[in-house]
Amino acid sequence: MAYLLHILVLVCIYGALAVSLDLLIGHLGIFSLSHAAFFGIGAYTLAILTRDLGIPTIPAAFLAMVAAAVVGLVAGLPSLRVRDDYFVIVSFAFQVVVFTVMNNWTSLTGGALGFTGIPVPTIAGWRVDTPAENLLVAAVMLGLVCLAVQGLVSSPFGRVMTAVREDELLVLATGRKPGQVKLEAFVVSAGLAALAGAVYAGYMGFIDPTSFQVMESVMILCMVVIGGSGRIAGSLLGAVLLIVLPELLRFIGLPGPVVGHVRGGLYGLILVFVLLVRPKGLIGAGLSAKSPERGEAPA
Amino acid sequence: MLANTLVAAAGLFIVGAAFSVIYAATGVFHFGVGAALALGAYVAYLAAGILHIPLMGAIVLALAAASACGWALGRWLFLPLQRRRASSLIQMLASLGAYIVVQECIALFMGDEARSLLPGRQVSVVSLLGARLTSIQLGILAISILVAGGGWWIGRVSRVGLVFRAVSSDPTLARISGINPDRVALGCFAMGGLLGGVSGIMVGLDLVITPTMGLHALLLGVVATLIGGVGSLAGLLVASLVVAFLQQFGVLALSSEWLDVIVFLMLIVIMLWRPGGVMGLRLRRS
Amino acid sequence: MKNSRFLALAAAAGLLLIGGCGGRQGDYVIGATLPLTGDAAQWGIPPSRGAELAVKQINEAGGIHGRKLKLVTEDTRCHPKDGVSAYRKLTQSVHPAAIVGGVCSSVTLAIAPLAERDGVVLVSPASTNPKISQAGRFIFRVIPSDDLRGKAFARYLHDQVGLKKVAILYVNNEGGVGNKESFSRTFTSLGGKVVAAEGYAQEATDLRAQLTKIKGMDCQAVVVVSYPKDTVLVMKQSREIGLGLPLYFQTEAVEDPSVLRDAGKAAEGALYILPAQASGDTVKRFKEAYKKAYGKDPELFAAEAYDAVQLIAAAFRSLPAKEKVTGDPVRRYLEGVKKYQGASGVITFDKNGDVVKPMAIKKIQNGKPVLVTTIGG
Repeated sequence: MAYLLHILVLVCIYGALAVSLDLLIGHLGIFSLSHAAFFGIGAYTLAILTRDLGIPTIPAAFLAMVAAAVVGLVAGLPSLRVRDDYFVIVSFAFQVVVFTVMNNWTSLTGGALGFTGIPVPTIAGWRVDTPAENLLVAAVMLGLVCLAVQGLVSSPFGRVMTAVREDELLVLATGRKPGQVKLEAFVVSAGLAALAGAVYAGYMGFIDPTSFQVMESVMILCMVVIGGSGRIAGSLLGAVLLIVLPELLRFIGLPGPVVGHVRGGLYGLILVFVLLVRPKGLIGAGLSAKSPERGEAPA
Repeated sequence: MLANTLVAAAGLFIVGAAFSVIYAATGVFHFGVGAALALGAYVAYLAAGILHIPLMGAIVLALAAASACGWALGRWLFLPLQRRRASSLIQMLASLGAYIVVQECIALFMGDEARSLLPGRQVSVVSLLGARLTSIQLGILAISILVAGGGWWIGRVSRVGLVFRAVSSDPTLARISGINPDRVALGCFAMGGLLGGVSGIMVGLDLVITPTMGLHALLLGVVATLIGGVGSLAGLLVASLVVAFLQQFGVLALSSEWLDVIVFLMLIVIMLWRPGGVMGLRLRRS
Repeated sequence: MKNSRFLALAAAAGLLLIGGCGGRQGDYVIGATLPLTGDAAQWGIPPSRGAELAVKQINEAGGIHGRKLKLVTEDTRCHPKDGVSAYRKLTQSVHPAAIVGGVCSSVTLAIAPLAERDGVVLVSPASTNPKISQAGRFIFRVIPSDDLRGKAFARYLHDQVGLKKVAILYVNNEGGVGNKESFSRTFTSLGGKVVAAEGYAQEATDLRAQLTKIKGMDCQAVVVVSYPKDTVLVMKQSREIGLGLPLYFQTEAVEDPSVLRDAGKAAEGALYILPAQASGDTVKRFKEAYKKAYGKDPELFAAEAYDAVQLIAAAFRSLPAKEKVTGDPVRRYLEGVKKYQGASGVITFDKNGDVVKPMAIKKIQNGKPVLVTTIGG
C-alpha cells in the first residue's frame, strides 16, 4: 500500500506543478522553462526554515510561497519585453541561475551533497508521518492549487489573461495593463509551485539540487502540453501519464541500459507524435490558433 | 587566454550561425541543430575510428549526414507542422522531441561514454605571438573566418541571399513571384544541419564527443545569437566574442562554479534592456 | 476533471493488482535498488550483475538453511523520488530484511530515513557521499566514503610528496564536492594551503580557462577530482596550455580503459588514489565467475554488490532457520563483521556502518597502471 500511496503523492505534487504552470501556458500563452526552479525554491525554503530556524510547518510553507512569489516577480519581468521562443530561452537561463545557486551556496542549501534531516511536517500538533497522512496533505494541497487556478481563471482576471494572450493591444486599449496581468500570473504560478515544493520537501525529508534541474522543468512543461493546456483536467492528465507510465514499466520486462535509451527515445517520439496529431494535447483547450507569420521577428 | 577566447568564440559563432540560418528564414527555434551536431561528430567517429576511412573522407561523410538530418527534419516535421499552422512554441517543442530521439539513438548504438576523434594522438602546439594554440584550434579559427566571410557574401551579394531574404520577409509575396518558399526553407534546414555538423566535428577534433554534446553546444550558440540579435551576422560575431570572453576571463574574477551564472545573467539583462539583441533587427510585432 | 481522476484511480488499481505478487513462500529475499535506466545506468547495471552472480552461486551451493535466496531488483533512475518508489514497491511486495543499494548518493540519502524507520538494512555498493555516515544505524556501505579517500590523499601528498601549496580542480557535483571538501579540510589542517578550488560542470568539455587560471597561481601541483571524460580533457589540455605542474588525481577514473586509450601519452606519469584492489582466492574466483557469466571483466561496483549480497546472506545463515527474518538481527550481524575477505577487498565496518579499506596510490608508467604504495588497512 505504501508504494501506491507514494505514487499518488507524487501525482498530486506534479499535478499541482502542472496545473500552476498551465496558468502561464494555457491562459497567457507563455512557455516557461523555470517551473522546477520555483518548485525547488519552495522545497529549500521549507527545509531551511523548519530544520535550521525551527519555524513550524504551516508558516514555513507560507513563507516558501512568498519567497517563490517574489522570485517569480523577477522571473516574470522579461516577459514584458520578450515573448514566445525568446522567453523560453530567458526562462531557461533563469532556471540555470537558480540551480547554480542551489548547487553552490553550500552554507545555506547544503550544496551538491544535498539537504538532509528535514523534520516531519507538523500541522497544528498533527505529525504528518505515514504515507497515508502525506497523501491526505498532498491531495488537499492539489485541491487548493486547483481551486486557486480555477477561481482565478473564471474571474474577470482570467478573461483579461485570455485577452492578453490573444491581443495585447486590445487589452491596452481597454485601459488595462497587460504587463501587470502577466506579472500577477507569474507571482501566483510561482507561489503555487512553491507550495508543491514545500509539500515535496516535507514528504521526502531529503532534497538535493538535481531534483530541481532543467530536465524537471521540461518534464512539467511536457505534462501540460501532452495532457492539454488551458484546462485543469488536461494538466492533471499529463501529470498522471508521465508519473504513472514509467511506474507501469516496472512491471513489464527486464530493464537494462538499452531499455533506458529506448524509453528516452520513446518519450521524444510520443512528444513529436502528440504535437503532430493533436497539437492541443490529449484533452486540452489548446493555445490560441494564431500562428506567427514566417520571418516576423518575435521581439 | 585571448587565444582560448578566440577559439571558443569561433565555436560559438558556427553553432550560432547554424541556428540562426534556420531561425531567421523559417522562424523555427530548432533544437534539431543539436541533433545534426552530435550526428555529424559520431558519423565522423564511426567512419574514421572504426571503418578507418581517412579523416578527410570521414568529414565529408559526416557533413553529408548532418545536412541530410537537417533536411529530413525540415521535410517531415516542420513543413507538416507549419501546414497545420502550429504555433512557433509547438514547433520548438517538437524539435526538442526530435532532438531527444536522435540523442537516445546515438547513445543506444554508441554507448554513453565520451569518445575522441583523435584517440591517443598528441596534437602539435604552435606558439603564436606568445599564445599557445594547437593546429586544430588554428583550423577552427580558419574555418569560422571562412564561414563568416561566406555567410556575408551569400547574404549580401549572391542571388541565393536575395531569395532567402525575400522569403523570410514575405513568403506569400515570394510565392507570387515564382519562388517556392518550401524549397528555400528546406535549403535552410539543410544548411543549418551542415553548419551544425561542421561544429560537431570541430568539437570532436578539439575536445571529446558524447551523445548529449548537441544540446549543450547549441544552447550557448543560441545565447550568443539572441544576445547578438537574430539575423545579424555581425551581431552574432560580436556576441560570440563577448560570451567567450566572459567564460574565459570570468574564471579569473570568481570561482568557476559560478561560470554559468555570468553568461545566463547577461542574457537576461540584455533581453530586458534590448529584447531584439544588441544588433538585432528592430522589427516589432503589432 | 472527473475524467482524469477516474484514470488516476484506474491506473492506481492496476498498480495495486500487479504489485501484489511477491516471492515464493519460504524463500529468503534480498532487495536491490539500483539505477537501471537513464544516464546513471552505467553505474547500476554492473552491481545488479554482481548481486545476481552472488545469489546464483549461493543457490547452486544449496541456498541458506536449505531454502532458496531470491533477489528482487527495482530501478531508481538515480532520482530521489523514483528511488523512494523503488524502495516502497520492494518493501510492499516482498518485505526484504535487507536491500542492496542505492548507487547514487541522493537516492541512498532519500531512502535511508525510511529504511531506518522500517528497520530494513541498506547496504550501498557505490554511494560515497560523506553524509551517509550519519544516515542511521541500519545504513551500511561496502565502498569507502569520499571522506576516507580525501583524508588519505591529503596526508600522502603532504607528508610523502611534500606538497605545501596546491590547487584543486573538481567536477561540481555531489561526488566531486565530497572529495574536494575532505581533501582540503585535511590538507589545511596539516598546515598545507589550498590556493584555489575550481569546480566545473559535469558536462563541461573545455577546461582551458580553469587550467590557465591555475597556471597563473602560486602552487606546486593540481589535485583533480574527475570522471573519465574530464580526466582525458585535463590531461590533454594541461599539456596544450603548457601548465607545467604535476597532476594528482583523486579518482579511479585514470584507470578507465577510455582514458588510457584517448589520452595516450598525456596520461604518462599521472599519479592517483583509489581503494586498494583486493587480492586472494575470493577475488580470483569472483573475477572468473563474472567473466564466465557476463563475458567481460567485472566493471565498477560489481564486486561491491557481490560482497553486499554475500554478507547479507551470511547474516541470514547465522540466524536460526525460522520463517521470518527481520532487519534488526542482520544489522547486528553486520556491525560485528571484521576483516571479511570479499571480492572487493577486506571489509570491516566502523561504528557508522562505513567500510574501512586500504587505499592504493598508483601511477601510469609506459601506458600501464603501476602500484606505488598502499596506505592504511
